[in-house]
Amino acid sequence: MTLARSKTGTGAITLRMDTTSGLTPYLQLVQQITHAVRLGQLTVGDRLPTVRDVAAQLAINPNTVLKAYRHLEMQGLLASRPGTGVFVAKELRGPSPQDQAALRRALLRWLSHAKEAGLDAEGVQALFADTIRQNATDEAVAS
Amino acid sequence: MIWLTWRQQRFEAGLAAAVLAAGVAVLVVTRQAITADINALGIPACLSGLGDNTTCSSAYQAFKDNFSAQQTLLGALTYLPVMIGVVLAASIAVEMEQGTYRLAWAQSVTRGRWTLTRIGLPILFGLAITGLIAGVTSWWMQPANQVQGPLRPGSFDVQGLLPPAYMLLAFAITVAGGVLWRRTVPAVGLGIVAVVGIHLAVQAWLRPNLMTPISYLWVSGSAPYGAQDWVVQGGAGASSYVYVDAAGRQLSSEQVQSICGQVVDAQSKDAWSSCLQAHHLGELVKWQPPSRFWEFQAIESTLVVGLALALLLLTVWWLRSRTV
Amino acid sequence: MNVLEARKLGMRYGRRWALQDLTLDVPGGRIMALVGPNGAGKTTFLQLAMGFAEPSAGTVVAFGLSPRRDAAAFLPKVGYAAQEPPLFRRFSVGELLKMGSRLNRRWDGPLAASRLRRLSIGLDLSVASLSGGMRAQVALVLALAKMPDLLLLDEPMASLDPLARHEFMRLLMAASAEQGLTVVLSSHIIGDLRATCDYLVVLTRGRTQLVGDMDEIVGTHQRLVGPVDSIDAIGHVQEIVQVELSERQASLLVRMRGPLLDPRWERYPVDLDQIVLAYLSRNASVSSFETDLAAEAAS
Repeated sequence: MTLARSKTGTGAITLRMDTTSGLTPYLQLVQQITHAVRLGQLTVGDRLPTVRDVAAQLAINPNTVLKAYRHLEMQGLLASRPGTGVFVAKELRGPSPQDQAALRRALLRWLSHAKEAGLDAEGVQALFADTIRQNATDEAVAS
Repeated sequence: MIWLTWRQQRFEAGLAAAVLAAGVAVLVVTRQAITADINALGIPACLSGLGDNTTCSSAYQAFKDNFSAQQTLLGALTYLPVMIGVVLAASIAVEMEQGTYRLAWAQSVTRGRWTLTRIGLPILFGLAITGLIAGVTSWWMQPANQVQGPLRPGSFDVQGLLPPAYMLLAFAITVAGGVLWRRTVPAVGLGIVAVVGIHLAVQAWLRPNLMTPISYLWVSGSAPYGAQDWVVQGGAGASSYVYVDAAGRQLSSEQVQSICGQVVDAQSKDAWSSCLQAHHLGELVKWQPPSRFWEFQAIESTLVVGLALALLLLTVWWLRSRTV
Repeated sequence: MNVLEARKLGMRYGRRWALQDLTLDVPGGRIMALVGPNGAGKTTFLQLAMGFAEPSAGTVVAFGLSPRRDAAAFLPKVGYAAQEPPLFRRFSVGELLKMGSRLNRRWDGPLAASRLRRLSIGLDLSVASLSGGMRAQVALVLALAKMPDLLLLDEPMASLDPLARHEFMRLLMAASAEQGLTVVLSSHIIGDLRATCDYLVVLTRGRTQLVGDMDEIVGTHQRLVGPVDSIDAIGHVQEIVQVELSERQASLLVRMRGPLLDPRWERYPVDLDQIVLAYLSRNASVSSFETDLAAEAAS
């Protein structure tokens, strides 16, 4: 489904529901919206579609949409204004160039450890994906 | 709920009303012919006591022969109320078979109100229609009643309270079958067969003795019963006769035949009666007089309606307690 | 707040118990998936909840009311639609709406009409001319139009193709958002349920096997693969639902109750199909289920 930007009227993001993904539905929405903000597809002041519209378009539980919006409200990314809807509240900047470089160096060190331990490229990808997913789920259960 | 019942049954209701209209038209037209026939045969004179016996009895006979041409019409009129009852109930059977009653039960109407309206309204409608039919046929039968009495099988069934009563019975049997089996075709089949069967059985075995008939030991002379009496045992044209001897014992036709048989061969009625008298035998005839018409109507319709009500109560109970 | 409560509910047909000792709460505001193979008792439960039949044992109470004894107060609060919904074949869709408006105190005719319009179902169409998917949608629109607080749906999509099912779900989700409903949706097709339902009840042979929040259930169940000799150790911490053994390896479907510390065990995610199947296999008699899953996978 598409979101129209309230101010400039151009650009849009698409929300999807992936039933085969291991990620729970509401986290998928959280991820997609966060991603859209990070990539600049959504900016501060843009209005997100109503819970009803998302639920109807994707054929998912309205509570799921509600949960996702609330989660992002808690994080401060979204803010709801009674009567008008839910809006993007802040921008997300990625890590600074110094932080990015530091992260890259740490990752290279980790990769050489993994190679020494006998993990091949595929094994690295699998472990990475699994750990991210598990981490996200643990975070969700904890919150 | 009234709108819903009407909407579900409007086809059957329209059909019944159309048949009623057609039937009334036919009856109105044919009654003219019957009255004309009676006058032509000179029967009014006979009824008021004028005219001699022989001409009158042959006039009566001629009328009966002519009137028998109306048999098909009478047959149709007898079973028309039954068909109306079955047709009205069939709609309910269809509802049970297709499960559409659950749609109504899932709305906000209680099961009690649904049952009362869904079953009660067609009953009221059926009673109204068959009541009208009974009224018109009773009027149509008046001339014939004067000649041959109202209690005759065939005549009795289309007059008074019987048409609505049998309509109700047919309705009750069909509805019970539909609710218990939830299949329309067997329910309709059962309704038709059962009612016709009950009706014929009542007509043949129960009705003659609903009240104790008038008995007469007929030894000689002209018939002790009149044209309007309904002869239930013996008499002219009967299939069997009962004879009684001086000691009060009953003899069958065959036994009497062996006693006076040769005389009958000689085809002499007087010789037959002389033989009977000689052996102190008399024929036991029984009949019901026309004055008992309304009592008979009341008794038979009470039995029929009673049976119908019992079935309807069973049906209502089944709908409330056992139907899911 | 529980909208529907069943306590030791039982239903007997002749000598067979379709439901036995069923104790279940339906929390308000949730869309509950009632899952189980054919003959598990889903239909019986919903019929008892509607008051169509009197329970042989136990009680079922909705909004503090008895569906049968308090029918006059109960019926306006509940909507119902079933598989291959019984609709009057000779009626037009508009006449079905008229029936609803006559037989219900609360009735939102304009809302129903607008929903039908959005579904491109004309009010003058006769019911007999509708496809299976349209009939299911009409039945749902009717059930929703009486503005119920509780909606009971007995396998409403069972005979529909995937597209029709998707359309049905879209309508249900939109209505749930618009009207604030509690929904009990029984189905033996699991694929439709993960994203739409937020509460799960697995039923076999008239008894509950698994009850809980959908996200929590899917999140806490995992597949663990590891050495056969340490199954018991795992069993002390986690709840083992299903065990599959090969020569050297064991594959366990577990509900995580504590941390997994043994590095010899690998964790894999499981989807709802596998979780439900595991709970059903615990009590055998799953032939129709597996057939459905196989058919789902093939389509």
